Amino acid sequence: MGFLNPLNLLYGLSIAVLVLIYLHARSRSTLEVSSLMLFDEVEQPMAKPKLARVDLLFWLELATLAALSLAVAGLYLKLEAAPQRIRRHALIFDIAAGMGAREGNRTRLDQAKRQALAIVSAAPAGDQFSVVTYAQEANVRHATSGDRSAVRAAIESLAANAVAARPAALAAALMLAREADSAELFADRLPSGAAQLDNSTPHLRFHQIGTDADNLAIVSLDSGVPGRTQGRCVIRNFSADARTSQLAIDCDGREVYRSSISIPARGQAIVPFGPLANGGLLHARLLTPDALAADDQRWAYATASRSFHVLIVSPDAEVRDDLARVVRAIDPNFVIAATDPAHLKAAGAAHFELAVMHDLDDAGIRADSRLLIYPAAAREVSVGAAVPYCEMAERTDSGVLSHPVLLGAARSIVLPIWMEPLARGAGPGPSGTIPLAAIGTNGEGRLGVIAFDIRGHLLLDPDRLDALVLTVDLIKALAAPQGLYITPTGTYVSIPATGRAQVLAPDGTTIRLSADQWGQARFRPLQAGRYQVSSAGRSQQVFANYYDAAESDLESKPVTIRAREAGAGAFTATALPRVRPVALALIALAAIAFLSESALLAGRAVLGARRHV
Amino acid sequence: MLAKRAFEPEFLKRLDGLILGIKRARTARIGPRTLGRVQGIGIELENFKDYVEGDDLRFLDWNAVGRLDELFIRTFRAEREIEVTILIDTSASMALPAKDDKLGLAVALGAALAYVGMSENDAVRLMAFGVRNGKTALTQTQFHRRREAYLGLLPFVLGLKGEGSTSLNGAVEQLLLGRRQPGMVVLISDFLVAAGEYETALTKLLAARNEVKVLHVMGERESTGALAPGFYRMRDCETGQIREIVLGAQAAAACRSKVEHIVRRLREFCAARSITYVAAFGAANLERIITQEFPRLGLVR
Repeated sequence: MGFLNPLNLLYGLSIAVLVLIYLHARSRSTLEVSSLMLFDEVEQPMAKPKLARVDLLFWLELATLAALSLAVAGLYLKLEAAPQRIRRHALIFDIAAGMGAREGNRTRLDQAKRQALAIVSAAPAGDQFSVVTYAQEANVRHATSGDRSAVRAAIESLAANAVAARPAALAAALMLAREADSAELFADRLPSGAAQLDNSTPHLRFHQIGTDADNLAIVSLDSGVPGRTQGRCVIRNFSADARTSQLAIDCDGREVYRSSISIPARGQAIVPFGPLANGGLLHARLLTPDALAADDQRWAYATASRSFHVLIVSPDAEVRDDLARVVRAIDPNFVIAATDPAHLKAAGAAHFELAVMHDLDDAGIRADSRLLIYPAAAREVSVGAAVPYCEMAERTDSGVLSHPVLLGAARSIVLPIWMEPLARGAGPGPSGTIPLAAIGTNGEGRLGVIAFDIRGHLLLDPDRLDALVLTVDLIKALAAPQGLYITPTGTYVSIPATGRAQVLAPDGTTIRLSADQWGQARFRPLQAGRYQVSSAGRSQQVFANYYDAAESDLESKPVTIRAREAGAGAFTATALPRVRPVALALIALAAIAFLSESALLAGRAVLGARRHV
Repeated sequence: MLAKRAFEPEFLKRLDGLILGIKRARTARIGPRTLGRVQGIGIELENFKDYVEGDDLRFLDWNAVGRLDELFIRTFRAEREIEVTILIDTSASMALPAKDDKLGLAVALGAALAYVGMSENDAVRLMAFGVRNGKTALTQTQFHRRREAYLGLLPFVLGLKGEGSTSLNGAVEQLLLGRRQPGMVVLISDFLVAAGEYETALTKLLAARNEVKVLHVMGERESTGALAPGFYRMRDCETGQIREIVLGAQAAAACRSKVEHIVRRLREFCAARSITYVAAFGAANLERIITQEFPRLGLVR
């Protein structure tokens, strides 16, 4: 027996109040008489006066209050688990990128599947299995059942995602499996922080999959400025030995670079190429096969040399100057016009590919893409009150920053559903997390928002490089051609669509989507590669890049998780006590007591009325 | 308080013309008859007698000496006065039930009798008794003989409170210690004591040659057991004893039976000893008791 919310037992104090009321009522029944002699012939009550001999109404009220208090406190019965013939097993699979690493002609996930299938086959008849996966998040692929064929099919259908595993996802998976008598965890490693799961999951048995494997990964790809500066490709060797690989780089399908590179053990190489003659879609790939294919290719966009007009509008001359420098650094070919809002009419008639507006609303400017920095007002974004400072704590594409970046003033913004936040932070006071940057596409084109102010040369402050990087990424994304999306795997992508949309994944599978009321179709690329989205005869492309330093390192590190049961692969019953909440029964008891009290009162009322008559 | 009623002119007007029903002759001499030495101390001339040595020369009839040259002593009729003591029980039981105002009824009856007595120039005093601090306390007024002094009883009457326990025997003993001439004693009480106690007390009063009248006072509710039904923890106001009692129709009947038993026993005791017994139950019956019950039972005429 125990309580889910013991603090709620304080509601039981109402019983004390009831007893006090009762005692008070009893105390009033004391009657002083001239002489007890007058009552000599009155018969004594059958029961001796005791505190417990009280009105039935009192007991009914006491029962009602006690039952409700216990129900609110979450009383449960702990039942000893009787030896069961049917046991429940949870099969938990890590399906992050590392499990997609090949060892021989099998992936690590294939090995995990084989072990799991062996367990399923060896289990006694009647045992039940559930299949749970985790990477970025935990999912139940197959609910607990005794249907072996369905379980095997669920296991066979598993595929590795090109994303990193998160500790929270593992914790969630273990939570999903907590009802099982045993949990079998198949993974090549545990995410950082998973070691603490030892005590909380005593029935967990860990199956480490895979051995050391060689892997090279493309860490980043920078196109440079076509016709001006060289591009760079950073490649990292996660092997224990020096490795040689062949790198090829294409631009819009034309090979612009091919070379063999040799990288020392656990080292990295920065490969320069170009400058590119023209802009376009840049695709770098390692041609030499290694264990993990997901990080062997990467896409980037080189801004076309076509004339690209950028309008910079800000009431602050310094800000205009800073933004012009940043935009020019992104692509020297950009044609930049910077102006004060007071002189905006002169530029009002012209059409721009990108308009960067600081501290003002966006009315009256014709542009394919717009970037609102510290917006005073906006049609699509709800702008609230300004806060004196904010801290950027997280980039949605790269995770939590190692150190929060203190920024200046910011305006709180409420994003429409079609915009994706790119960075989050916190303002002063307990306001919680607020979006600091976002991007999205609607019928009017692309829209980017930066909530913080960039006055005071914020973008050029070396201590706040994250703000500059965020701004550059946003401008690059806004300057990219329409219909082309380059995104990290695991992040949601919103694509303009009409009605239904069809997504062709890199592995050839098809995903069907429906556009929402804002004309956006959202999906999350979980494989590295090219996705083709078709909707209403229009085709758009999404290129998903994958790289994670921890996941791409395929070195097998021993994981020690204390197993409760000895003997791998052998099933033993885990006599975990079962918990049975009795809240419903208590509420029913309270209701019965309450109804009985009502009936008693009604009966007394009727009887009293008769007496009076 | 009902006691105030006994001092209202309208109420007193109804008492005018009543006299106490005293059985003993008003001409009774004070003390035993003795030859010559003790004379009546009244003012009404009764007779003459020859002077003998030792007679009080103050009563010598000097006119007769002057005319007849013989010594005659004047004798007078004794005072036609009788002392009336109205003894009121002021124990705690007289104050309960509070709504019955038993003490008020007792005091009003006592005061009314005092008024009647004073109207006939009888010496009347009010006396209250109860137990205070473990001892029997007796408080009293002085004797009043004229009804003009009736209002002088008011402070005493208003100062009476029902408290302490009942000690009839102790009160009577203290009364008799005063060694007054026998007179009329009106004992007003609820008699909620052991029968032996009041029997002893009344017997002592009779033994002292007093003419004893008993006014048995009870409240309307306690005499009928008319209490709201329910479970009660009852506490005796004098002894502090507590008893759990379930009151209902049966209990009320038992209560009435007990009262009848007390009344019957007291009435029989009084009847056997020529003591006038008057049951005065219910404060609402004050006037009826005085104007109907008292004359009927001979307490007043």
